[in-house]
Amino acid sequence: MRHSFLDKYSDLDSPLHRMDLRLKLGAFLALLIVFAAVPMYWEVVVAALILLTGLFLLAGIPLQYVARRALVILPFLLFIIVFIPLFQEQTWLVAWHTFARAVCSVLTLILFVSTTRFVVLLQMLDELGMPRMIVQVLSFIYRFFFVLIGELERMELASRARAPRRGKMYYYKALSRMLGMLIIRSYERSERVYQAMQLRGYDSEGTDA
Amino acid sequence: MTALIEFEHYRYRYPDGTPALNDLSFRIQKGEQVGIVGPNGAGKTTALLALSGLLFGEGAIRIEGETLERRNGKHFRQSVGLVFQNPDDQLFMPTVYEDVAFGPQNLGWDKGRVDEAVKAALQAVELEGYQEKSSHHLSSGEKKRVAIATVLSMQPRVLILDEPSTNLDPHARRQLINLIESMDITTIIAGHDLELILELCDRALIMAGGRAVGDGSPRSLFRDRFLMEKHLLEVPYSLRSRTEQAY
Amino acid sequence: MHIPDGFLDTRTILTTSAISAGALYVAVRKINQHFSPYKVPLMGVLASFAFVAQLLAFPVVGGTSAHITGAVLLAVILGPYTSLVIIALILVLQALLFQHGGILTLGANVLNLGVMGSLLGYLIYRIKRNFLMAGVASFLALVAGGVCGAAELAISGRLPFHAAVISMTSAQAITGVVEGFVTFSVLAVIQSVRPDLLSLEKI
Repeated sequence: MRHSFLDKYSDLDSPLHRMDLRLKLGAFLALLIVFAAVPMYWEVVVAALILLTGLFLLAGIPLQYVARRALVILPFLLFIIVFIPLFQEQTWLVAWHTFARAVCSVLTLILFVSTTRFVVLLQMLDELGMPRMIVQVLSFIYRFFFVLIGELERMELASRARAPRRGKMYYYKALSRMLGMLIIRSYERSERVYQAMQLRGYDSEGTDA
Repeated sequence: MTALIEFEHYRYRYPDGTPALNDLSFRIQKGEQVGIVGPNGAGKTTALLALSGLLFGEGAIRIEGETLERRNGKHFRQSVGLVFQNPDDQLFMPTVYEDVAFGPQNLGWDKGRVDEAVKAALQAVELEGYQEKSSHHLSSGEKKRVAIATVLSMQPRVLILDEPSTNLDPHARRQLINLIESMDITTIIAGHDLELILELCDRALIMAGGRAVGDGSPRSLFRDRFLMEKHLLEVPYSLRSRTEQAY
Repeated sequence: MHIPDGFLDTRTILTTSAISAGALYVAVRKINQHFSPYKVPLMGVLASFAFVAQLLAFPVVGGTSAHITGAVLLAVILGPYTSLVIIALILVLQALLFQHGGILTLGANVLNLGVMGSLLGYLIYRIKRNFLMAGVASFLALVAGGVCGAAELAISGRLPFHAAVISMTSAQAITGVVEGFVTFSVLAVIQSVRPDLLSLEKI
């Protein structure tokens, strides 16, 4: 399957990968708060970037990959910058601060996520006392993501094989119809999954939320 | 000797009224390897669901002498291990370990016992070391074996496989056949893969119209062209005489 | 629009987080009050569906494309509180996996997309309870979410309010049309193939 549910580099081995998850999560959140609250002087930004780059290298994650993923926030940044002329003098300062905060935060996020296996994150949430229902729903989203993407791809292939591409309206209608079928199939799958859960004693343990 | 499984004049109608099982009766003894064949709509899957306590109809189903009823249905979940046709319906946890451990955990076993059961089940399906893998990274053959492991970990009395060879390439199918052969457990295999049933089962039941219409050795049943065609099946290629091969 | 980290000030982060946390707390409690074991796989697989659906790109103008949230769709099928929880979880995953929206700004995004979509959208839908209304509700909910986002950005000093509102609402209006159309169409498909899905218990 082409789609890596972000798990791309999370199976590597480095001090960051091996770090205790609770500690890592704490550090991660602390950094995010720092970047949100501290004024972004040149020195702060440079120090942050050096720190983050160093950590990426330590974790063995290619910087090119990081840069590509960080580009995700670009549309929003451009969106804000486009409207600068409408604002008063503090414009560039505000834009700079926003830019710096956004970049440092997203890099921190990428660092955390690339050094953490999703399933381990789920287990930790469970241990931290997250409501069972929440953890279970998250793990289902993860588990069935690939199954559903596969079904969607097959539907798309089938529809493309049967009809030539026409207009945008047609595309919208076709896509909506596929989503409709996908949601129905998803519901039916959930019925079978529930049966499978029951077969392995799920409802014998009483309500589990 | 009390049969391990007994259906006695069992009837079941779907909520919309269509009859699915109509006076189904048969017995399975401990240690038997039984195949259940029949056309689509014969009620094979319905019978398996009823045996697993997911449906309740009229008549009796007895497991080791005890009658299966709504109020004690859940009690039998451990004894009967049903493996669905599609592993994606049965593997719903992020990792193999969690899927195989799900059953034992629900049975209330302590961590040590759960870990042992998981290890043993994965060994039985020849997938030791797969515990941390995620199901979506597995091949269809591996997924099928994990699905079997999820049921084996509960240490059931009988293993039931519904259309087990679906979507398996010849190599995976061969592995599956070898695996089932090596396991020492009462087994029921339902499906259309007659050759597989011929290889693995010492007894076969033909179901049609919600009841059993044939019961005997797979070879003699499947070779009976009249019987097979009457129930919308056909004589498997390996059993056809030279003159019949053209069919 | 998912607001990334760095775009909101601390005060706004705290306020929106408190509002969203409160809404989620109520939602989880409501769901637990009406809990049945089958709801876990139901919520789980439909949440996975919504997550996948949100990845689909609907081309709009030029090279840009819009994505749907499915908040009102889920609310019509499963109920507003269930929809809110699902949307919130999807936002968490999108932030973590795709950096689509930030972590500290989750409160704001849950408010703009979840509370506005699942709760307000459902309220609007309830006016008429037909598919057309569902489409309209999706549109309005998205625009409302845009206004909230604009307010959040303005209060954080990133943009003046009028500029923020104009830009956010116009963007959300375009996305809203797509969302309204898709919500309507998907409900129509469900009605024709498996209408019983529209009679599920709604929490």
